[in-house]
Amino acid sequence: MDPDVKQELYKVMDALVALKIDLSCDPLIPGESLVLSASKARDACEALHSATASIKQLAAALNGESPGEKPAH
Amino acid sequence: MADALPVLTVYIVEDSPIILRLLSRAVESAGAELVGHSDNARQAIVDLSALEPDLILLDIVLTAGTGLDVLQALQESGHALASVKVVFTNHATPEHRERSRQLGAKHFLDKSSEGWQALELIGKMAAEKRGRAGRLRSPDFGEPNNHGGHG
Repeated sequence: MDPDVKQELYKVMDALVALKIDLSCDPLIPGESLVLSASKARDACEALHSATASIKQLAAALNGESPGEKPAH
Repeated sequence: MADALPVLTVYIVEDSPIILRLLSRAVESAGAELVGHSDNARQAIVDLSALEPDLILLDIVLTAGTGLDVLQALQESGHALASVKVVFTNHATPEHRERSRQLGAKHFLDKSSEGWQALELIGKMAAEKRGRAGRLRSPDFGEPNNHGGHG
């Protein structure tokens, strides 16, 4: 596997791990605790941004495009 | 005047800014102190040899070197022997788990399925350190308990 692809995949995983914890998805967390603070919401958004950016890079790499290249429409 | 209770000191070896922020927030929430962090093995080894924190959280894959390199260097140099070392990684293979154990890691947690355990461990260790310090104090010299209970 291309090392950049591997690296991007782990970035996606890290972002999803953080998102899962920020959103308190753990089944042991009681329902009344599922309140997202502003800082956690921002971190969750940033995790989503990071994951989607990495997936975009991956898609481009798998399509044989250069990382910054705009996708063809 | 009574001294402040000692706080758990924590060092994080992690290349992901998102995970670093997550763990840093957990350290702060637990009332522990983040004494440093690094995204590469070399800097972590230098820092940890001097800081010797209570708890070291390590990822395996870093921007340069690995968390296993850090564990090995600490083991060989004899630094941070008393630190509790926790590997927190997406590379949770049996080989990495066993190697981490051999190199002195007390816990090995899979990021994708054991994230909460990592946060709980930080909170538990911070509470234990405060509790231990409180128990060691003589009632004659300890801080008066004006609150009628424990938090």
